[in-house]
Amino acid sequence: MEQNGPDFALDGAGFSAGGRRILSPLALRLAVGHLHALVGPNGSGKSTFLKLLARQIAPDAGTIRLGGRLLPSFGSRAFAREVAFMPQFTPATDGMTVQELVSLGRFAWHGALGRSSPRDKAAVREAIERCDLTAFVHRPVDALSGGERQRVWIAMMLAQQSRWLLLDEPTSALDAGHQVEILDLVASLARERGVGVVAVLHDINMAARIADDILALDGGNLVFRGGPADVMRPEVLRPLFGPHVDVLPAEGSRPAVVYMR
Amino acid sequence: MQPNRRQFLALAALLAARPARAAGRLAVIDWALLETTLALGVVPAAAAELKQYARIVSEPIMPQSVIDLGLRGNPNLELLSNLTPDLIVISNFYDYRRASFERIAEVLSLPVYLTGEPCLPILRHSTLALGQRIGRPEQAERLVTALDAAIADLRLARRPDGRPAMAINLGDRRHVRLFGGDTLFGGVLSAAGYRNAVADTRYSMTAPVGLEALAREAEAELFVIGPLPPGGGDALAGNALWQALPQVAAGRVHLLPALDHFGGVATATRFAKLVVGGAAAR
Amino acid sequence: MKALPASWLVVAAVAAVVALAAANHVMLIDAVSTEAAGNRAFAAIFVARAELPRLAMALVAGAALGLSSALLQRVLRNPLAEPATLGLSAGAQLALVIATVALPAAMAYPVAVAFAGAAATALLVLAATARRRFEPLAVILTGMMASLTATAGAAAVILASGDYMTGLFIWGGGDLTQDGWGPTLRLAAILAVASAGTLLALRPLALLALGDAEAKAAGLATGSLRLVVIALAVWLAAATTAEIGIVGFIGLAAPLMARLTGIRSSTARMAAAPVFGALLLSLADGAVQLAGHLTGLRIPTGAATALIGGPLILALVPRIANLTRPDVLPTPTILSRRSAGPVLAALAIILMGAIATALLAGRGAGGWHFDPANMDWRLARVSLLGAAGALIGMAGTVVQRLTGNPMASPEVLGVGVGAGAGLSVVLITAPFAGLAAQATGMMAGSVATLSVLLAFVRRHGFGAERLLIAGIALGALLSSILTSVITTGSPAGFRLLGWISGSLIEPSASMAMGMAVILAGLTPLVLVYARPLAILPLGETTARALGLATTATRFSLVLIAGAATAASTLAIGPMSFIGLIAPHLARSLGLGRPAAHLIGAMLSGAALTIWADWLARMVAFPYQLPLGLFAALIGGGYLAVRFARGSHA
Repeated sequence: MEQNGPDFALDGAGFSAGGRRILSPLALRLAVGHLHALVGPNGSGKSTFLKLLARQIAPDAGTIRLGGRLLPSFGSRAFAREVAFMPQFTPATDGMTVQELVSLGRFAWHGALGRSSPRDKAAVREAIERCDLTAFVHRPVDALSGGERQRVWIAMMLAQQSRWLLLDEPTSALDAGHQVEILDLVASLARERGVGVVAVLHDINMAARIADDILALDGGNLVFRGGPADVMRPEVLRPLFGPHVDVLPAEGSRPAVVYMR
Repeated sequence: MQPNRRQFLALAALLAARPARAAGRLAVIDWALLETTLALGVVPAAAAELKQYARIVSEPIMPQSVIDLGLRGNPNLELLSNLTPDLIVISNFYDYRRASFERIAEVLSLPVYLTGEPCLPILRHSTLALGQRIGRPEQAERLVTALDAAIADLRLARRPDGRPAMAINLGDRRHVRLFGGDTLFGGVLSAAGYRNAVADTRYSMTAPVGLEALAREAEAELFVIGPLPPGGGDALAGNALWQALPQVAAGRVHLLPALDHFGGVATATRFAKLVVGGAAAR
Repeated sequence: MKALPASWLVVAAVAAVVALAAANHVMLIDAVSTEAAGNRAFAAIFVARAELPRLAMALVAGAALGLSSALLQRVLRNPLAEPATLGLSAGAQLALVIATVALPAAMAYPVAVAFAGAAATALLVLAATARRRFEPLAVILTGMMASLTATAGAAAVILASGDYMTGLFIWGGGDLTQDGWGPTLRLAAILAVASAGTLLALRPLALLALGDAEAKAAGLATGSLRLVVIALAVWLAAATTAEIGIVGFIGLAAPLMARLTGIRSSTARMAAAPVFGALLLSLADGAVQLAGHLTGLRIPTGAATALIGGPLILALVPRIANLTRPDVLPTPTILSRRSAGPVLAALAIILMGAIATALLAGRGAGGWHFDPANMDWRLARVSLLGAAGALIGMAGTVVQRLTGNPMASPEVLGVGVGAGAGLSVVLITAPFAGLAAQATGMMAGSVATLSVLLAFVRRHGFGAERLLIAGIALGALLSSILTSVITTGSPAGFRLLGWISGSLIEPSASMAMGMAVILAGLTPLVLVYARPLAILPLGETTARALGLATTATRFSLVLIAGAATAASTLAIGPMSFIGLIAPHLARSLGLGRPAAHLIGAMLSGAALTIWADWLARMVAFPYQLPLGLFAALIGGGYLAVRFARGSHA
């Protein structure tokens, strides 16, 4: 089998629950170093797809490999060193400070007992700086605003130094300005470090703005896949989002804006 | 492991054979042995759960000098050790914490009741053994003889109609405790030739049963051991169910004063005498 | 869930009640009747004055409990509200016990006494949860705490008056035996008045269901309506407790049956609740009597309903959606953080103070004294209890972090009672079993309980509120088993009662040494899990995303908590609440990191245990009261205050 770095490879992987097919078997490849956006209407199977990749749930058909290895063959920590995952709803943080929460990202590296090495400390410091959280390090996470909290969770993923970041609607709670800020941060990481990103995005314009590769899901099926220019066309989007959708050309390299006619 | 009766009797006999010694300062945990100690003419320095004891045992009166050690099941060992007893008297019920008592003083453990065993032989031997150990062997002999005499009297007083007997205690308006063959009162009745109408009890805690259980033995003589539940005799008079019991309707019920259910030879003697009185009164 | 036709279910239940009654009647007559003439007369009177009143009492009391629960559930909008879960029954019982001991004259009016106790409990629970707008989970947890505290208080009063035997009746509550029609008629009259009151309140209640604002806009005095309806429910609960003791869970089952039969309208449900309550209690009481006839075992009806009610809650939990109100919770709880060193040092000094008090101060035959004379006795005791308290503090911290819920604890989750169930199995098989066998039984019992709980909530999602409710249910189930064993009056029961009273083992140097060894062994083991214990409160998803092998970690932590709980309950009994309070206390002092939190909880646990035990031995000297009772009283008060202040829960 051909092998280019630690890509995700799905081979007939699908998922059903309670006799209902949530995600039809998929065969596809996700390349590391790219930003893959998952779009589609509610209930289209985006979150399920992401959870399969994150190994939060196991496919009931087919297999998923990472870098040629089957997902179940990874140990817990070994997998976390490869893949970081941020769920749609981040939990309450039990009074932890920013510093403490971000440090938990290093668990995959030092485990329960290992000493926190200079490398661990450097990774935490860098993640905090990168997410612009230096002023908040000793503040309780629960006391921060929604946008700040989201940045803390992203910083925790960064500290994990995995090759993949999986994000489920990372900006759901944010206003447009903060959304752009966070997604640009994620996109720049993908470019600078060769990290692979899979993000569920409910805003197709955001996807078009930052993604290299857009996967559109509907009713548990992959209905379209391509670059922003390929996706941002009325004939692709209308079956997904309804007949009122239309596309406007945008300035710069990124192609289009979707609006409701 | 629970030692059997034969082993206990052998042990008791062995103890009884030892030469008598002076009593010294005694601490008595078990109530049957406490009562026996007093009946032997020895006032212990301390004993357990005296508040409740005073409520149940009306005679002999507990001397004021006896110090209360707290609950029988959980006596205050610190207080006990401060009282520096010479001998601590316990029964087989407290053997499981014997080691703690032994830290304080010499321990004399005598059997009093064993599930499923007639208790009078055990109590007789334990009484003699205690008398021997605390220097009152003659008094112990006298206690045991008195019991035998009382039982003989009861045997004579018993009507020769072969009527069974039941010893009970009223838990509340609706429940009774039944005393079977391995209990003090059941033992006395059996020894006097009554057929004990109570088939089976688990002596240690005598779980209460409903009043209707009494009706199963309609022909029995009923000996009600005090204390009566709150309301006393008046409540019984107004209790239609109680009044309807065949034994009550036929006037075969004898209300006795409060007696210690876990008493010793002296209580047994007193019970036998009360039953004679009750039987004669009818 | 497919709806059964209501009529079928009712017909089936009535048929079962009648069949049970008939079988019991035949067995009873068979047992009673002999050829003696007086006997036939007795049998007739027994049927008229005991058997029929008992049947009627089961119907009336069941209806009263069903109506009381329906009212409470309606007005509190809480599917789990009923007299037992809100602590009303236990409050009534406590008042009755206090009156019996301290004010016998008042016992001429038992319903009034019971009402005072139940109403005081209701006020306490509602006042403590008012700030959380009577959020169901908070109400149930507070009610349970009030219930356990009241039960402990009642047991303390009984033991302090020096009477072991009556204690049995407390534990074996819920007895429907009758000797006349008086109690049934009294309760029926109260039920009739309360039903009339309910009829009047139906319309306003329907308005209230729309929401407070809407009801107020429609001109309804919501506050006084609530008060009146709650008073009605409390009155019913108190009267029932006064007549038959504590019978729990009937009120939970009745609405469930109503739902099973597909009754939709809330008015119809209100009418159905007493009907189903009456049928359920009659069924339970009939079954208990039948079991008594067949086996000779007397299971208190209250214990039987708990035995049925426990699994019932477990079945209900997955269906209950609105235990917490998202609109109440959003204020994030920001706990102050302090640097661990000084806080731990202060706790250590407090512990030293507790140790010094317990070692030096005491009462003797001659009054109070302060001297080291009894050091050898006290040293063993203080070391044993200190180590046990530290262990339960450790177990509490682990369980709270494991579940991500600060209200969880080995006691609340029924783990302590589970240890007791394990112990009872050992004692029933071998009444004179040695300490090692007893400890093994308790360990197995507590681990099994925790595992069942974790498996259960795992299956239905790891929601903290579900874990707590399931724990309460399991605890009720297991305590009913303990109650049944104790009321058999067997040697096993006697020793179990001793264990519940906290006097199973005598503190000795070797015992203290053993406990210290367990503590010394488990402490480094649990500290190894400091990082996982920081991660686990974030939930399953995040923990796995961070690379934690959650299943294996949870399993190990459950084992550690189970071992610590088993060891400590050996010394301090099952319901000390120290496993709940100690981690809370450490947390509120600003110890946030797992290692500091653990050590702080262990220090607090040791200090609290030593103090509670010292108090328990001093208050009624020379009578030594169970330490668990004192700890429960302290704990109940502490938590009531915390809840009232609305801090984290």
